[in-house]
Amino acid sequence: MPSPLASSASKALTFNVIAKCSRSKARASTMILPHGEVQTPMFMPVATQASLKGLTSAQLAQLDCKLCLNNTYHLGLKPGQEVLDAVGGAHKLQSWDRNILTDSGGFQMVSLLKLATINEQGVKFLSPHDGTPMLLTPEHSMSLQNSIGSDIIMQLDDVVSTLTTGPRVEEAMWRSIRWLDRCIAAHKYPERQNLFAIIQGGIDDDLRKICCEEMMKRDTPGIAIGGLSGGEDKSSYCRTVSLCTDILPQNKPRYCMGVGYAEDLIVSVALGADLFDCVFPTRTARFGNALTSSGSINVKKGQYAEDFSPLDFDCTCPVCKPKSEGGMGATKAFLHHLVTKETTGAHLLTLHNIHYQLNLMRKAREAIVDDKYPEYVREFFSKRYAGDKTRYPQWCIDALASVNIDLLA
Amino acid sequence: MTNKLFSVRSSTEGNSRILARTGTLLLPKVGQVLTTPALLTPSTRGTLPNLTPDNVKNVTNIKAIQVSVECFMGKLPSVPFLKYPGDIREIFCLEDDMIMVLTPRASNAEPSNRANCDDAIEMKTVEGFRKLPIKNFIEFAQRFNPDILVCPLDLPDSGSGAFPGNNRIKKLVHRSRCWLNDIIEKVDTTNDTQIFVSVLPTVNPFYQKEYFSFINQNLESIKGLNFHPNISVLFSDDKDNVESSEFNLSKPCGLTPRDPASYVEAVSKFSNVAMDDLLELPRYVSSACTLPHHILKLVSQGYDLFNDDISVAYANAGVALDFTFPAPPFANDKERNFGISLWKKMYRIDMTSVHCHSTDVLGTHKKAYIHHLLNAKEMTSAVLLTIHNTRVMEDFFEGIRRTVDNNTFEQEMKRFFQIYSGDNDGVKLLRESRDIVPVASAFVLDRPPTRKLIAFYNDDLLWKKNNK
Repeated sequence: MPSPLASSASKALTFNVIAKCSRSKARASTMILPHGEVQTPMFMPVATQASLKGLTSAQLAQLDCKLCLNNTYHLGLKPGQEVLDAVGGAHKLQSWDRNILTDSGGFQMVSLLKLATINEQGVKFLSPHDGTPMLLTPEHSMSLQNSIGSDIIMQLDDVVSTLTTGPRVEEAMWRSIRWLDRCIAAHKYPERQNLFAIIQGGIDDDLRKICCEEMMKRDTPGIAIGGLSGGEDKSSYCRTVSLCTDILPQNKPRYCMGVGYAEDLIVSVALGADLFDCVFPTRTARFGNALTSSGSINVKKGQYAEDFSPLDFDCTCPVCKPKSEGGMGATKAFLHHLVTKETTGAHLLTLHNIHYQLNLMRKAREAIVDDKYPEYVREFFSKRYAGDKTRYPQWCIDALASVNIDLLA
Repeated sequence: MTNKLFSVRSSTEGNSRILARTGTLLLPKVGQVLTTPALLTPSTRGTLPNLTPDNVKNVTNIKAIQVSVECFMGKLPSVPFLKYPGDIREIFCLEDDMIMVLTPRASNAEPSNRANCDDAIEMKTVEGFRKLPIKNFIEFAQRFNPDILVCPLDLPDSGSGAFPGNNRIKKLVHRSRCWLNDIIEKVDTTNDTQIFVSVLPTVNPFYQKEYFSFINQNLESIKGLNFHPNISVLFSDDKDNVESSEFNLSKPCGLTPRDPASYVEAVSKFSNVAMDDLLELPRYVSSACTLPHHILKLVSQGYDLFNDDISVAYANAGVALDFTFPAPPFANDKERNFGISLWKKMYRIDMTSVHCHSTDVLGTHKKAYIHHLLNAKEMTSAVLLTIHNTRVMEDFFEGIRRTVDNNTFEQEMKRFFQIYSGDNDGVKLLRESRDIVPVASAFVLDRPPTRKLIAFYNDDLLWKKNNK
């Protein structure tokens, strides 16, 4: 085996970059975690409350998913830390012997808790279940994630909405750095759980630079780019990701949080990010949307009632694959008949969408290894917009041009 | 005439009260043999509730499903699936050898309060009130190409509890006969579709003479009987409520007779059909049974085919079934529940398997996980429980067949009734659990139809809130 281009090893994580795109910043790597090896770039499906909506862990494993997400905030409320300790962690609870990453609960402060107040100590909020005041501190988040036992744990960060401007952004950035120190101090099992730092700083280049430098000093096994995908314009998003990947060390995994649209994934990979997560593919499935190489289609639409073709002819997921090849051979007409009426409709589209995301990243990796990533990107956009280059989003063209991929070539 | 497709293997008919029997039903279309008593899994909208086709194939032994036309009425008269050129099993992502039984209505159908017409049945479906013309039903029968086709009946609204009057009975018998005639004439049975005739419930056999002489004339085309026994009086010892084999000819209607054999006896008396021919037909129960006790009682009366409404109803309620037949030997014969409600807090850290006496299908998934999923309103709880409960029911039927064959059914049934708390506790268990359960299926018993099936799950509610 050729020696890796860049690598790092900590007690619970070995990261090897095995190939790099000769034009863009895209890279392919392997990451060895306590529950097995994963290959990046990779999309991680989100099993918020220790189950991927309606799927069994066997079905998820069948899709060749090696790493899925759980949410600290949700697991802390249900089933609760006491139960997690008693049953021996989230892997055992959900019968998942592969890797788990847990988010710290910081994001839920923005997304769920309108009335949360944040101070230096932590986040104060009212329990959504019984209204009792609760305090989430970096120490408490670490303790919870230690109980969950996830392979990658995230620091508690001070998340502000991406659209926030002014001194609050800088305050959040510095506070996230201080909280990382408290997380490192409180983390009980660095030998079997990897603590990732989260870069904050909104879309302010200077703040992001400072934050990257500061976080790198703490030498965590991996680094996440947080505080994005919250409604900022796409060019700011790309600029910020690109700025961070330029500064961050080559030999450590970079996790771009909350990114799940196919275009965003393709572009972010070109900008040098390795890991992604988003509830979008599974959530949109429950509303009847299927992700395909030519974009998202809503099978609830009347036009699919008599459409006896698969969701995507190229798809190799268990739902679309014909019966003769061991799949289910589901048609749009059948899914149209089921979605939003029977839970199995949601389950089938969830299976399909997760496969789509995993496969998109698997194929991207293959392309990077063959040093054909620019071709892969062009093929992706061509299929998505049926070859009509005038419909390509300008931000994609610009972002890819910044890493030497000419989308219009 | 002997029915070549169904043969009784062994029966306990020497005994006057227990008429349980085992048999084999050949289904040449899919090349399957069903050993009876057997279980049909009801489907909704062409899918098995909570089970994706890969799960059906990989983790269950489901061999036969019941499909009801009422699930496809949304777009009448233009039903998209009827335009599919291939086998309908392909559309439903079912295995090629899956046995399919087509019925007009679901076993746990909502009664409609609109009156039927001469040429159509009124239905209350999840999508609202629908009229199913018989000619459309025949179209469904031809396109769906089922292994067993259950004929429609002109049943008056049974929701009110009142019995039809004399004039209504005449109409009921006449219409049902005409519809049967249409089906026998128009449905192509050369491709091995077996027609099951529905026996008119609540109507005294004496008043069904016209219907039965018609059945007699067409015995060649009829391969089975479909009954609607009144489940609520199964355990009633009250002689007034249950008709004996001696029918009171002065009453045109009443409850169905105690067992199909005595019914058939009465029928043959009035219609000159040779009794043996009818006795050798398979008997399908299309009423929904909510307890294993009901099924045992019906098996003891000589019924052969049943719908599995139990697995999903209890799974949706968060109950893991926990019984076997014969009942396992317990140290003391204290009453036990035949299921456990995993909502109970006592299971929160219980890392033992859900199965106790049945086959383990959930592997590493433990009680604490399902308790957590129920608590967190995650759909996977219903999936796992359906997989488990379906296996419990499969094992249950395996036990029934075994005990009938070796003549221990009667004593095992008695022991089962002693050990597992019956009727009241079972229904209570279901009710209690159901009160806190999210609506996870369009066909949950006792609930109005709802379209907000998946939106219930809290993630989506939060999503909507955030996107306002």
